[in-house]
Amino acid sequence: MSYSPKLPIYLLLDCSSSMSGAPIEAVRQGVKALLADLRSDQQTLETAHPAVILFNSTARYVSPITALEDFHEPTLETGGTSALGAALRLLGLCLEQQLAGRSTGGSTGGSTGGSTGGSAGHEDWYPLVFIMTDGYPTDYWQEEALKLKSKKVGMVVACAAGDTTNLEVLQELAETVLQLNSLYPESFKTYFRWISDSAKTKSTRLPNRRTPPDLPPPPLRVRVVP
Amino acid sequence: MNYQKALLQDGSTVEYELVDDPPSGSMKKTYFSPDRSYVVQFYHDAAVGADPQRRERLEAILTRYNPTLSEAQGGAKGNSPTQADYYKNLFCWPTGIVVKPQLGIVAPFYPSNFFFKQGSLKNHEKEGSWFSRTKARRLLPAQELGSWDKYLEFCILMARSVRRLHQAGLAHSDLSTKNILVDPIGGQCVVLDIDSLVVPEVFPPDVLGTPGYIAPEVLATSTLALRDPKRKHPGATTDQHALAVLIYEYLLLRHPLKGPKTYAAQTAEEQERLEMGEKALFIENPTDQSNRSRELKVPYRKLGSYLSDLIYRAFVKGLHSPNDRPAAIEWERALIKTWDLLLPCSNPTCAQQWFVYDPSGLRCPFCGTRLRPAWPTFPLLKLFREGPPEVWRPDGEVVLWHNHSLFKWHVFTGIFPGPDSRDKTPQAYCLFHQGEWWLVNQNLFSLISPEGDRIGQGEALLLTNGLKFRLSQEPESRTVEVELIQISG
Repeated sequence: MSYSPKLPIYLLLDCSSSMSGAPIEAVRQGVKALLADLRSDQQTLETAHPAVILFNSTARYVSPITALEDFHEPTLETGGTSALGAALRLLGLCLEQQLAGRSTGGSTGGSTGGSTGGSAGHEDWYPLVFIMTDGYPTDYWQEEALKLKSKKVGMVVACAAGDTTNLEVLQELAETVLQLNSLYPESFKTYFRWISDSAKTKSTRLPNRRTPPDLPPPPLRVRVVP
Repeated sequence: MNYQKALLQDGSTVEYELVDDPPSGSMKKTYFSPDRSYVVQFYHDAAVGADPQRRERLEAILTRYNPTLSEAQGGAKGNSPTQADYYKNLFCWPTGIVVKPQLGIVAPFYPSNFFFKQGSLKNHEKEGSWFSRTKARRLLPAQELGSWDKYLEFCILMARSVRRLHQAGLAHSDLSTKNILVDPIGGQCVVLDIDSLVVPEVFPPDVLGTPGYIAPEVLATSTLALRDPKRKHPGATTDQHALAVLIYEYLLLRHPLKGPKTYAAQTAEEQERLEMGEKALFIENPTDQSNRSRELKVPYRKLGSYLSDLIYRAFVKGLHSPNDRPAAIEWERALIKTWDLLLPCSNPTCAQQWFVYDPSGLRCPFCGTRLRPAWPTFPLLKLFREGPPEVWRPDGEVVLWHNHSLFKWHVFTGIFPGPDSRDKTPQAYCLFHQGEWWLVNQNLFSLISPEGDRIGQGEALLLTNGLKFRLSQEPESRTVEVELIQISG
């Protein structure tokens, strides 16, 4: 049985009381947009494995690494303080476990899908992390944020949720900060890309003629999608 | 002319014309400014004016929830001046709160393209139901109807407007043909009644919605007490239902749930609650045909796979399961991808004039005319994006036609059309010339033929069946493969 590399995607979702109302609704929409982008790309449809860590007064791993087709949006309810540091610490533990299982090709720590690997040498993609918060943590998070920077992740994206976000905290959390209220279709796809060198074109060798000498000019009225 | 002054919250005043019988909705009455560029609206119910929550909501709507003002001007966080200007055209967003003579709002009036210019409806508002119902359409002059590509365009703008609201954590709660004016000639739309925006758990909805657009779960539980936990209230997921109904209506000219199936009931209201609420059933449900209309000239599958998938999710899977409904951003994406698959109808008298490319047959589903243009084939461009390095995965298709253009979002994977992609310069255009199809380069800097020849600006690449090439050598650009689709025979 061939092994498909997994793309783990960690969602850290702030469910503290300051998130009630518009901010948590914005997170719900942000999660929907992320899932829609993952499902509409053949590559990520096959490889994406989301996991969810919710945090308010405590941080908890509510949904372990699951294949996208089996993944269900989490139910989000707000209340309590905002233990971002605890969430980052929990994320760190998950990443370490996953890294340990990564190079042996076996199932990653906490995964539910069961091992699909066989021979050694299969590697999962480096995980992506999306943190959706309004930026008002209540515990000691800076140390954990620094530790995260040294972990092997593909990318960490901090997503600003709601109408009164504290951008400074988000900017300290991650190099990339996204505003959830200005997502457009496929805006998450930028983060799924794989590093590539300038790729060689696979092309067929068919004869090509030179430009005809009397080409009509470009159309005066151009149809453009809104 | 009886001009009056109203005092705004910020201390300024505005003028309006006091008339005896002003236009009235369920919540407010409307007066016009002397130059009719803005309206001053007062709430019918005086108690509304005394409610501090109402005032708080209006203030929030004018400031931190406002996408039509840049962050610097006091609008939504992260909103740039360009985005603010863009959204000003999509919403009639309130610009001020009136405090005297009573609580009200000032809002811009919608521009003239949202009014009929001809016929017996001249100067009346272009309310959507004139365009989405076959019987109503027959009463309009042909020039007011607009072509199908324009309907697709204003549906994109409609989905985008709702998407913008939802991403800010808000919900409209009363999306309907009455609250979204459309312009099928220019392909525009504008959303009204912004002062009733819902913020979940903070500012509850004022109304249930408009019949025909109320989500089934809201209608089915509407007789329960307001605070009954089993009662369902309007919010983002019910907006998603209304948006799906509107898009289905505008593109297929029929309502998705109003079919022949009826239920015995004591009152008309109870019957409506069953047919459109608890027992609501999609008229094109693939496994339950009991509500199937006789007149289904254009089945929903003719809209192409992007829209078909969402229609299935909205009206089969998600009809009674709100979390399964497509989000507004998914409609926006699907409509935009479908726009790239439009073919022009060969029948000059076809009312729709455009239809979606369907590999199973090249016939306009609206008028039945088979495609018969001046050339034997047309190019279908298959797009590919790089998955892992050097592995190219399918990433959509674009129908090319004579004088159709390619844009930056076709060339590069990180760009998508919308308010954030300001560069709408055509990158290349397609041409049928001397019996062949050509792609003429206008603004691509590294378009290279498969043989390695540079195709400079003004030069052309011959499009042959099976030809594969890169649109650009820059990172994150796409590879394309040409398939020449046979029209004749």
